Amino acid sequence: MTRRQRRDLWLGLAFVSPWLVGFLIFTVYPVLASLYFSFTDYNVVSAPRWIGMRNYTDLINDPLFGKTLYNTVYLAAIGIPFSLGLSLVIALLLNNKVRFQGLFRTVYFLPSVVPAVAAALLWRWFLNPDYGPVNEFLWQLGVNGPGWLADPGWSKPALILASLWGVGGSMVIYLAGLQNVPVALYEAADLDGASRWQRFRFVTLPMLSPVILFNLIMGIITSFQAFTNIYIMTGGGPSNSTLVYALYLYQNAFQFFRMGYASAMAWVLLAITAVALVGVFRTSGWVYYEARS
Amino acid sequence: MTLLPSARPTARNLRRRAVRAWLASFATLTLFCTAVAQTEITFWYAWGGSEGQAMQALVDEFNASQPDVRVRSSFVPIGDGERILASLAGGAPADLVTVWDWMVVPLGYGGALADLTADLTAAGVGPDDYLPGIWEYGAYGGAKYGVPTTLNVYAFMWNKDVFAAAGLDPEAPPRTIEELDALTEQLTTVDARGNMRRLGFYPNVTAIYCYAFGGQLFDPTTLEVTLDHPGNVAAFEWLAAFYKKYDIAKIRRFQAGWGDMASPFNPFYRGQIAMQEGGQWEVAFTREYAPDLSWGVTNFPAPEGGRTDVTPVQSSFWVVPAQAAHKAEATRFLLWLSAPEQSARFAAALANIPPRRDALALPAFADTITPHMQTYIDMLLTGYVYTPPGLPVGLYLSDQLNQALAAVQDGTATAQEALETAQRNVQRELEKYR
Amino acid sequence: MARRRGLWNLVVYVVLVAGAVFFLTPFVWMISTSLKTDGQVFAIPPEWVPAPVMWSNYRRLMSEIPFLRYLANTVFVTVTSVAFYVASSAVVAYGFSRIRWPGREALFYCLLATMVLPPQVTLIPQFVMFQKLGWVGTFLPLIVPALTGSAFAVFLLRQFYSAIPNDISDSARIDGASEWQIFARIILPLAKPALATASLFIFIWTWTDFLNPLIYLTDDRLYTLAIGLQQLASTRAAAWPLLMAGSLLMSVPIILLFFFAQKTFIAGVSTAAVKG
Repeated sequence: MTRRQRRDLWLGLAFVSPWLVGFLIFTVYPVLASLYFSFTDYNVVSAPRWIGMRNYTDLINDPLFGKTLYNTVYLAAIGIPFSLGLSLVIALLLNNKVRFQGLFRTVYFLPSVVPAVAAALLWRWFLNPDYGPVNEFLWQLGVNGPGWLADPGWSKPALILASLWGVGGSMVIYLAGLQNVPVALYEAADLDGASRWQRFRFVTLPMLSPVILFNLIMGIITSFQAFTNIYIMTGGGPSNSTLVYALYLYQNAFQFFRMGYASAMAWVLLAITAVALVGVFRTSGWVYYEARS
Repeated sequence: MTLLPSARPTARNLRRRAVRAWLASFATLTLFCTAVAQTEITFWYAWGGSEGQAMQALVDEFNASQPDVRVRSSFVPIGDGERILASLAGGAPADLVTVWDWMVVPLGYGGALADLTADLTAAGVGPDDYLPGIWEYGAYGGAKYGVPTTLNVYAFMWNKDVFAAAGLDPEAPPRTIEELDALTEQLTTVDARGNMRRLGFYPNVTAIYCYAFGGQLFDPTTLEVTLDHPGNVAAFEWLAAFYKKYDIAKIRRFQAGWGDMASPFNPFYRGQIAMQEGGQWEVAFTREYAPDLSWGVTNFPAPEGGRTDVTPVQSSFWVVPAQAAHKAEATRFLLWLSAPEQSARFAAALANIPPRRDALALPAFADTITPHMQTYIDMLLTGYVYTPPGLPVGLYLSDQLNQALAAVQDGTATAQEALETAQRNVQRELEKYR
Repeated sequence: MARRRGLWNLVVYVVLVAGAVFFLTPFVWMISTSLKTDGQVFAIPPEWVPAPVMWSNYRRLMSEIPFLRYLANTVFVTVTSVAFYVASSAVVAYGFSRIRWPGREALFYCLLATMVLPPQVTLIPQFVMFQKLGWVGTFLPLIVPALTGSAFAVFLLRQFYSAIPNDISDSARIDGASEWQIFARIILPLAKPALATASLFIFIWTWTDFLNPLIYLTDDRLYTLAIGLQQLASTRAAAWPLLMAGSLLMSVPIILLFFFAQKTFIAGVSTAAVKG
């Protein structure tokens, strides 16, 4: 190790030390404890009893494990591209010099401050099979609309539709990212006679790619853990069609007194998410970092 | 030292005065505490709004009634017990805690709650002081881990207006399952789009019908799970036929349009459901949200050879953690809180029924009894009372019952198969606690 | 060309306005619900205009829960947390992006992993740990961990720091600037939009957090607004209008914060700085 490398190591560690210290003090113990619980029968109030791999083998035989994993992956695989795309479009539109720009941005962000229960109430009305506006509209077109949240075959698309209001969050992150695109690059592109699409494709997109990667990864992490909104809207029904992984984990931990089993579920989720994230990072050649040396 | 404040107090002056004031108040406080030797206990209750105020009024009254114990109460929503579980695991819980019924046995059997049997017996409180079947509620293997706060009782309700409009005798509710089936068919209507307009009858709490068909979810004496009891299977077969006949997809679609229970848009009040299960709170709710509604309440219909007097009961509980700092004082407050007079007043405030037999006749509660309410009370006094199974597995049993129902509704399993699976799963889970 | 641009702008406006109507609905619904009677809340089909208009709901809200006390607690916890989180994360993110050192990637994956493990299974051991430290019943478990950074903010800021060209730091290094000076004087100002974004998110999360205050603040004199609102929902017939009135009052600071913070998104300092 050269002197320069040694210096960088110490500097790097110094900068990350607040996190590192906190990680060692506040995080490592609870994380390792949950790993230990995953090999035990543990109902929180009695002492955990070691049972080896049984929670993990039980998971394989639990039909709800597969079912909830499927529901979660379904919602993530369709919901994430959908919301990332939409929030990007909105951010691009609101990055234009439009009148009332600040007001528009605030309005698109507003649903993020409305409590989930209030939003859920509205969606239950919008998507009501009998008198909701969506199905009324479909009826005008001569279609008897689906049961949406009441139909196991449509409940997941309905949830994805209902997540639309939440795109304000990633929109804000895109907007912040768009500020980092140097104006000089756009000027150069204009000099070369680039079209609107070419400007987007060859200037905006690459410069925004670190932020897109961020939104993608946070999207994966949060959608694998999401359950509050779903719990409020459907409670996991009908017929387990919206019972997601984190909701089932929560039930096991706090309602069935199976904290050991829930811990095993958590570590399986960690493994699955890790694989997904490593996959994303491995294929993140499309991300352009100015600072890459 | 002058009594008048100096015209321009210096900073030093002020600081000295502040210190003196602080010392003085500290001294008074110490004096006060030692003189009275009062024990402060912490009490977590879970009621907000007017219900919380009623609880707080009782606490204040207890505090004023005697000098030894001071109850410091805080509102702590139960949720799924996150705070309670954490505090129990951390070994420093409150002295008296309010929990859901399904938490009592898991926490108690796990060693986290005090067994109250001895204290209750010593205070002269026994099974006969409670309504039938209530003493055993929250008990497991001979230990009593909690005291019910106030009871919710379910009965069969029918909408007399809907009956009359359909040309039926509004005073003749179904007595048997056959009559119920026939009435359901007559009262169910569908509109031009093929969507349901009214469902004659909606079974919401599956367990009720298991008991009505002579089944049971578990055996309270042997503590064995009996989900595959022939009576349960018969009930599930009947439910399966119901969902097949009226089409589960159509019912779910219809259900999506039902209004909130605590509003004028309650589907029963609007005649979207003609017959259903309903708790005694409907007496207060109908008065508020549907004052013109004419409705009746009676025993659940039962098949030939089944139980004609099933009385489902639910309650939240007061429990004393085993590691509470002031167990004796907490129990003393609990005995006061659950005594007939307080029981009657709190139940009246919540539109519930007091669990104490003597409380029923006290004016605080008796004055609120309406004819509808009397039916619920009679059912409690004479019926076959069943309470949610108190087993160490918490909600796992009822969740498995729901899973079995979902399988039957979707047609992926027969009643027998679905219940056998649930039975196996719950038994396997219970073996962890043997 | 000019006509095409005019047409494009028109299309953009129509789309934006239509979208705005859609995105406004939940908020308007919240306002309208907060002014309704208990009975009107669940009207089918839903009614948008409260009749009668119950301004008194707001007065009732203030009397049903100690709103101002809870507000003060919430402000204290949130402001402290945001300041701690953002300051520490800004520093940590620098170590994860602008300096190369062995083990950096491995530790970064550890940081990401802390976000991936569902909090439900670490909640109990974490509580036991804070109990052993004697912190339960105080604000400490809510604000001290903030000094160690938020994984979310570190990750976000790392992405933004990485987008800043290396030449800037290199030329400063040649001029003899220390690493801390480069961080504080050059990188930090360039990352203002990201810092504002991170602050905004952390603000919303701590401001509306329910579970952590519920678990750690055992004394109801320390309660935050999120728990106070739960009190309104904890009766058999939940007081929906009051709940919405409370939520609305709670969201006003977030909206104001956003409205003013978004100006830092518009006038990104970085644009001018990088230009040269």
